[in-house]
Amino acid sequence: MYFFSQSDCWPTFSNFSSPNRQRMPSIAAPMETLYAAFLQRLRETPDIRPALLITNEPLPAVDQAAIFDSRLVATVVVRVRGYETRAYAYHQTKR
Amino acid sequence: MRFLPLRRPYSILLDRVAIATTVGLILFGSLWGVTRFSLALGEFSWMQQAYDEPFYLWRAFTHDFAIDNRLVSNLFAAALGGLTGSFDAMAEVVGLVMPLAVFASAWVLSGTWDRVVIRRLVWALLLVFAFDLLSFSNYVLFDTQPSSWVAKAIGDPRIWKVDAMAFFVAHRRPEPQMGMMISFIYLAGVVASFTNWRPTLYRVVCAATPFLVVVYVNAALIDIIVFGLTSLIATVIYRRPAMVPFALSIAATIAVFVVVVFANPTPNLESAFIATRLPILRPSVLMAVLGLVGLAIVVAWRGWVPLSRHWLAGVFLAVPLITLNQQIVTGVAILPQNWELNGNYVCIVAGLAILVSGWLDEKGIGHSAITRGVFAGLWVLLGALVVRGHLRVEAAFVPRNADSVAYARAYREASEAIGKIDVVVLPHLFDESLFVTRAPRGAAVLGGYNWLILNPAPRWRIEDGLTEHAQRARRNFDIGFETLARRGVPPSAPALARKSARRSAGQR
Repeated sequence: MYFFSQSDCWPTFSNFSSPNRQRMPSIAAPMETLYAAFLQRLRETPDIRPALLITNEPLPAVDQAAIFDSRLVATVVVRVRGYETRAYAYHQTKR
Repeated sequence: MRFLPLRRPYSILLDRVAIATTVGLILFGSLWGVTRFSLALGEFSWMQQAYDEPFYLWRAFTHDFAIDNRLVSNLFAAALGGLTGSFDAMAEVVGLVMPLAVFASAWVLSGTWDRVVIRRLVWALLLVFAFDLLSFSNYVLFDTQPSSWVAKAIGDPRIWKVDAMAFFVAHRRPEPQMGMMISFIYLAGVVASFTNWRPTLYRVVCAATPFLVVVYVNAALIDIIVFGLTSLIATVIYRRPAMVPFALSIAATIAVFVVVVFANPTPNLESAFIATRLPILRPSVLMAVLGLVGLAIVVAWRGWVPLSRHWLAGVFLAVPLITLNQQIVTGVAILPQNWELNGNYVCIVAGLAILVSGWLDEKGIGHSAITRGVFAGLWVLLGALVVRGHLRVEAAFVPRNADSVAYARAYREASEAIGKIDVVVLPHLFDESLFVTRAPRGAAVLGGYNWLILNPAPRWRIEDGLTEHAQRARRNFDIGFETLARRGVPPSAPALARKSARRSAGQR
């Protein structure tokens, strides 16, 4: 959804014949290259806005190759009858 | 003139009890889930109970809408938002008022072909829950969707695809319930003016038709198809003076449509259309064919002299065939699911109800104990299905609502700890819509569903490769990649695919 319009995706997912159908499955590898280039650009950018990252599980131990430092600033548990959910909020800044 | 049999006091009392109980059933659906959810949280909190509700309600609440086919529902929600001053209160007032309004308008419509209370109640309930009951695709009523068995047998989604839903359509805010409510009233005018020619009412229907432009498009188009076909029959078969008011009405409707479309060009409008000439099958198409065959047998039995109710039933039963298969001629289809959700099954119910009610009265058995018993049994069955369905809706939607409460509380705690938050990244794509309704006003989400819907990537041009497309859609690519990067997605295609698949399975 981030990268393609609904018009590009609907025909594929609806299995209606369309030229998009032929080219969509072949984009995984080029997308990997584009994403890797974006991450490299991110690494080289000195000033990136901080953000709040919310997850359902704690983040794994510190990854030395990570682009961001993530500091836990809030943990919330909500129970609604039989259902329990957790939210972990991390303050994310450029490493 | 037809005289109804004299009714005894206990019969009147039973009718009133049945009406009150049915209204209670509708209210139960509106109140049960949100009451229990609020009690569990210890505070009043609205509860999403259908796909995409928060997105559209939030846009109405923040006045972020245009003059288009959602105008009526947006204005209503926005007005309630202004009155209550609270999103939660607005959402739940809409949730309380609209299902009752839908039921009341279904009651008016069913009253145009049936006056016996228990029968009318059954028809009204069938109209309100038409898609849920007849599409055989709704998890609320079926553990395993019967429609999916046919889909597997056919094996081609171009021809048969399950329109999977997990909520009652008439309870989905703000559409299609507003479209349903207006549609039922409009169709009541069409049916009443056609059955026993009432020229004044017909002119009122003609005058109302241009306003359908600001009603949800699929419901409005179905209304116009029924209006057009009945007007044609009135003119050609019954020689009624309907041609001039009909032509003026359609001309005015087209004019209003052109003004609205040019005043508010809808981005990505073409995504609603599919270029195809393939026939589309759905349960509604099969039911329509069976209904029309049955109707033909009845009319043949009468020596091919159809009554007005036969014409009317034929019009309603023809609608699913027209909406789902007009592309065989035109080459352009609108998403089939939209027709199914917004009127095909209503037309099936209306067509069959007109036939059955007319037949019962013609045979003089409309008031018999057996007929009343059968309809009372149907009414009890429908009531039980509706109650069970609401319990299942509540159970299905508790997790996403509880998740969003947790995210909003975490956001508040975090902002107390670190101060101003520029942007938040949530666990799943679809989390944004519900989160922003619970978070402090102005909370900005990176790479969320609302942003994507309002800022769609440009269409991938046929002459472009991926690199050129990525350049043209750079803003969307940057937002998408940053969101993935902040969630810690590694730069490998299999990981991307896995993450993407997991997020696609997430909840809207």
